[in-house]
Amino acid sequence: MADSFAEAMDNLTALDKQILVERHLISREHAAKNVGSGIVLNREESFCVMINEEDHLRMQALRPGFQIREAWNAIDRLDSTLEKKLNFAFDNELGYLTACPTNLGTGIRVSAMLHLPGLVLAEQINPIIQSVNKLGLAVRGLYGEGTEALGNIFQVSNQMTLGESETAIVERLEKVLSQIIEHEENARQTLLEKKNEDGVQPRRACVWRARECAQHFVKRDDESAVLAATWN
Amino acid sequence: MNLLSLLRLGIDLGSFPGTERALVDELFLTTQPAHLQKQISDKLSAEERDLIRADMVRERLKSVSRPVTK
Repeated sequence: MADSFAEAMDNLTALDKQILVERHLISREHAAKNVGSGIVLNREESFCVMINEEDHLRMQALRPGFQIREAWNAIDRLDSTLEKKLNFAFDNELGYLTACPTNLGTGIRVSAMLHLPGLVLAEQINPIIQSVNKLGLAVRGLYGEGTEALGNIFQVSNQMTLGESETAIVERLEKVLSQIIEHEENARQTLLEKKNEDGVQPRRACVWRARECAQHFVKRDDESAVLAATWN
Repeated sequence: MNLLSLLRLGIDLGSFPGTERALVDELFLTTQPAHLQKQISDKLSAEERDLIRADMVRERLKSVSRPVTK
């Protein structure tokens, strides 16, 4: 983690913490922490370590695009380096002993942010979410648990951390994500081919209306109305 | 954000040749409340934030032309 800085949470303003939350670098729970907690963040924002969040250490590697394997390799290297200097709580049978039992074992959370407007507009998103849930993966909103999928952005991540190796979890997520992407592409193709009663391709009306509206107003209620009007 | 999502979809579908998806991705980040607040020294109300967001989006999207029709 060359070119990084470390800061105690009580030295950060509420605004700085909120910016870190908006950039998905720290959790909302960590933003509420003060004395005794901190962060280590590199300049590229590709690594962030939360100190004394729920566990003593919560390490994140973030990569753009479909680079789950790369993110895993990066965090594995960081973890191995730290393990040479720190004694992690580890049990031969249970694995890494985390504060919350839902993280027990590998302690790994593999998560991908997906932009899925095609599935939302085609009203196929709910069955997809249900299918993904059945495969042991969680689908959440833009800011994680309990948040809505603003901007049609969804987070997909593993729920179980116990009973599978880290690489098996990564591979399973990669496989499911590839399928979701394929469904999204199919939904977009269907939308492209669909014409409304006036013979106008809805996607053109929609994206142009989006641009116009984004330039002229910003009220969220209006956004919803436009979204409904342009695609109905 | 929902409007930005539609614009991003339009870019992906080739309706805005010459417009990069990165432009929308940047707006997804920088139009969030704390990011807007950081740019202005005074504390903003939600309504003031909406106006500043509108100005920012209008400025960043002014070079985006009408979608092409094939």
